[in-house]
Amino acid sequence: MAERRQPSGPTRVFMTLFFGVFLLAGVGFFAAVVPASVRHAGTYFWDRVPCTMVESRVVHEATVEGEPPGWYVRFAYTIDGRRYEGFRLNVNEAAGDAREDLCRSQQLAPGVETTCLVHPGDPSVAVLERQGVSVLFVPLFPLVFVAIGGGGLWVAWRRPAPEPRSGFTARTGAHTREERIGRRVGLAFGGIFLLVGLGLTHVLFLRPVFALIGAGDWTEVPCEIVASTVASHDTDDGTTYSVELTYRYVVDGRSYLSNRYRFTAVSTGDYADAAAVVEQCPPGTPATCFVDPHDPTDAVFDRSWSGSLGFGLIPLVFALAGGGLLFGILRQGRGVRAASGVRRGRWIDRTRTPAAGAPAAAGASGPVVLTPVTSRGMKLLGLVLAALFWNGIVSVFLVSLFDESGGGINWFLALFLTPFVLVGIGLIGVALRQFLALSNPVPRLTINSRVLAPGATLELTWAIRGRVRALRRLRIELEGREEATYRRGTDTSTDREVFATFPLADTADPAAMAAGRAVLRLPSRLMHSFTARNNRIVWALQVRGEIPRWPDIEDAFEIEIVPVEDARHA
Amino acid sequence: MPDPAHQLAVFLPGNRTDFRPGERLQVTVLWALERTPGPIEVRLFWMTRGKGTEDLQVVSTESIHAGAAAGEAACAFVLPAAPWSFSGRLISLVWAVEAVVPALDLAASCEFVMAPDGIEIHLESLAPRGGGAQP
Amino acid sequence: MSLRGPACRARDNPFAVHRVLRVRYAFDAAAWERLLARLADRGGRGAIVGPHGSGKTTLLEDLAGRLQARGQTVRWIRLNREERAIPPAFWRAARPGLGSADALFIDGAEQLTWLGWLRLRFVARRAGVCVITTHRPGRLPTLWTCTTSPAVLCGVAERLGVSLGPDLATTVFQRHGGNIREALRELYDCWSRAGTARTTSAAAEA
Repeated sequence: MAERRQPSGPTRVFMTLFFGVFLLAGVGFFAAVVPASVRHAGTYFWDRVPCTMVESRVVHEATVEGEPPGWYVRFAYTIDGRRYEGFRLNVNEAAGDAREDLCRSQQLAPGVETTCLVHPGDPSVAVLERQGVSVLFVPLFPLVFVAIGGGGLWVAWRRPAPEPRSGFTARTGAHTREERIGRRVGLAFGGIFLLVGLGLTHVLFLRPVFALIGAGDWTEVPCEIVASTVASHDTDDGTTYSVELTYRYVVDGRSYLSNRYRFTAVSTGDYADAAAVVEQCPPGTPATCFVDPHDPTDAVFDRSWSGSLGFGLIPLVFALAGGGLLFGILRQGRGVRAASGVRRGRWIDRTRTPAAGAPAAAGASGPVVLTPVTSRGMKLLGLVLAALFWNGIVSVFLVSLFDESGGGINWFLALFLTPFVLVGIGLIGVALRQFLALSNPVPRLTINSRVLAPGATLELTWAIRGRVRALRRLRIELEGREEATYRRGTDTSTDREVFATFPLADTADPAAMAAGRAVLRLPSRLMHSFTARNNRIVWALQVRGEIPRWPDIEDAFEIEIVPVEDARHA
Repeated sequence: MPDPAHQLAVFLPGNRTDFRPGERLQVTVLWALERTPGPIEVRLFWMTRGKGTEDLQVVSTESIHAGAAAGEAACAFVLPAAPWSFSGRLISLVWAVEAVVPALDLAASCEFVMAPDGIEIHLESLAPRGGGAQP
Repeated sequence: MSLRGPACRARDNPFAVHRVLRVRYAFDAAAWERLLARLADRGGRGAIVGPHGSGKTTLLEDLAGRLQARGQTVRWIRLNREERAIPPAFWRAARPGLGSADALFIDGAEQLTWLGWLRLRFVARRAGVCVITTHRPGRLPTLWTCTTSPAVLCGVAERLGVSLGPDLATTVFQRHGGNIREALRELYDCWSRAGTARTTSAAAEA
C-alpha cells in the first residue's frame, strides 16, 4: 500500500499557537537577559587596579533607611594621581548568596588591600569584582525555548517527509535529509539534557559532598548564636522550610560571623524539623561550629551527612537520559538503520555492493548470527523522553487551569488544552506499550551462511531468550517482498508487496519455541535480492510471537540471496 | 513520428530472446540513413518497469564505426551474472540492447530475457511452499 | 468495482509508470499558442499552478520541449520533499550567468525557502525564460492553472488503452481528492489484481 502522510490543518493551527508562545517567550526572555551578559562580558576588558576597602557591611534585613538586604561596599583607588571611590560590587549590581556575602565581607573588611576593575574609558566607573562566568551562559537558557518554539513551528509548517526507504540507504550508510535533521535535533536535546543534568548534579550534590569531605579536618571552635529563625519558601509544590542561623566565633583574636548551617541548601516541607533546630538554638546560646583552618571566614554549623544530600542526585537522571540519547543516536548512526519496525541483521557486509549484479563469492560460508541493531531500550528511552517533555509542558498549563478553578473553570483554556492532553495521554500509552515490550522474549537467529543462492539450503537455528513461557505461538517465515518507489513532482510514494512466504517454523510447543532448527531448500528459480534507487526485491526472516494480552513480538531480519555466477556459457 | 528517411534496427542472433548469465550476446545493427552517421553506440542495459519510478543501468557500451550511410555491423557483449529478468506485481526488470546514433538523435532497441534458464522469473509463481521447511 | 485485463506482469500493466509518463498534457495547437503568448506577455516569467497530481510537471516538460525546439537551452531544477535545496552543481554552472537563450525550469519551487528563492531569482534575472511549478500562486505570475476532473481521468485512461466507466472514474477520482496521479496508481492496483484473479481462475480450470 502507498505510504504518504498528509498535514492536518487543525493540528497545524494548534501547533502554531503552542510553539508560537514558546518562541515569543524565549525571545522576550532572551532580550531581557542579554544586556546583563553583555555588560558582564565587557568587564573582561576593564583594567584591574589596586584599591583599599573603606566600607564593607552586610545588611540582613531591610533597614529603616530603606536599604534592601545585601553587601554594601566602598573602596578607594587611584588613577593617574587622582583618587576615586567606587560603590558598586559588580557591573550588574546583582545580589549574591547571603552566606557568601557575609564570608566575603569579612575577607574584605575595611582597610584590606585588594583590587578592583576600572572602566578603561571612564576611571570614575569601577566595580569591586566580576560576577561568575556563568552569567555569560544565562542567555543560552531562553535560546532553548526559542529552539523549541522555532523547531515546533518548522515541524508544523514543513511538508511531511515520506517514510524512509528500508534497505538501500541503510545498507550504504547514507541518511535522508530528514534523518540527518532528526539526528541533529536529537543530539542537541541529548546534549542539553546531559550538560544541564551534569551541571545541576555538580552544584547540588558533588560540591556539597566534596565540601563535607574537606570539612572533615576543620577545627571545632566555640561560637555564639546571634540569630536563628525558620525561613519559608513558596514553591509550586507548596511551602518548604529551612533553618537560618547566624553565629559569631573568634579565631586568632578576631571575630567572624557566618550563616552557613549545612553544606546542602535543601529546604523541606517539614516545618517541625526546622523549628526544632531553631528552638534549640535561640540567640545567645553557646554552641560549636567548624572553621576552615586555612580561611577563618569559612565555617559551617553542622557538618554531618544528611539524607537531603540524596536530592542532589535527581538531576543525574536528566544527565543519564541525555547521555543515553546521545549514545543511542551516535551508535545508531554507525550501525545499519532500520525502518518501519524492521530490524536489520548486522551480518550484511556493507563493503559489498548489494544485489544488482553482484555474484556470490565462492566458498564464502560459515554460521552467522543475526542480531538486531536497534535495541528496544533505546526506543523506549526516546518515547519516555518525548512523553516527559510533552506532558511536562502541558502540565504547567493544566496546573494553572486548576489553580484558577476556584473562581470557575476557564473553558477556553480547557478546550485549548484538550488536544494537547490527549496527545500526552497517547504518548504515555505508546511508551507504556514499549515498556511492556521491553520484557518480551528476544529472538536470536543463526543461519548457516552469509551467502545464500537460489537452490541452496537455508539452515536456521533459533533461540528465544527471556520470558519464553509467555509465548503462545511462534512463527518464523522467509518472506520475499517487492518495494517500488514512485517520485514525481514533489511527491514520493512507496508500495510494498509480499510475493512469497516460506514457512520455517509454526509451533505452540514451549520447547520448540524456546529453541529449534529448520532447514529450507530454496527454489532454484528464486529471484535474488535486488536493490536500485527506486525498486527493490527484499528477502527477510519474519519472526512473529503471539503473547496473550501483551504486545506481540514482530521482528524482521533481512538476508541477502545472491545470484550464483554461472560460467557454463562464458 | 520517426523520420522515414532514417532506418535503424537491432537484431539478436536467430531472433532469440532467451539468454543466460555469462552468455556471449552477439548483436547485429542495421542502418539506412540519409548520410554517414558517424559512430553508432550500442548499449547493453537493464531497466525496471511497473509501479515505481524507472531505474536504468547501462552495463556495457560498444562503438561501431559506420563508414557509410547504410550498412550492417556486429558487436558482442558478455552478459553479467545479474540482475535476472523478473516480473512481479509492482516491478518488472527488462534487459535490452539499444543502438543510438547521437548525431541524428536516432535509437532502436531490442528486449530480451536474461535468467538462469532463459525464462523470465515470475515472482508470484514463487508463492508459498516452494521449497518446504523441515525441522 | 471491476476491471478486466490479461495476466498482469508489472510491465504489461497499462497504468505502469513508463506508460503513464508517455501521456502528455492534453493541449491542442491553439492552447499551446495561447500559453506561449502568455509567457511572452509576462516577460518569459510564469508559474504553472495546481494541486498534487494535476499534471504540472507534465505540462512543464512539454513546454520545455517546445522551447527547446525553438532553440532555447533548457536548464532543469527538480525539487521535492527529500531534496529541497538547489544542487551546488547548478550554482557552479550558473556562475557565468544565464542569458536570453537560457530557459530555467524549476519543478517544485514551493520547496525553496524564501532566501533560496531570492537567490535563485537573482541568478535567473537575465535568463530568457523562467517557469516554475507550484501548488499555490504567488512567486511568479500564473501562466496556467492545472485542474482535474473525472473526465480528465477518463481521458488519460483512454490514451493508455483502458476504457473507464464514468462511475468508476468518479469514485476513484473522488477518493483521491482529484489527484490524478494517485488515482492512476489505484487503477494500477485494480488492474493487476483483476489480472491475477483472472489468471488464477484460468489455471484452476485447467
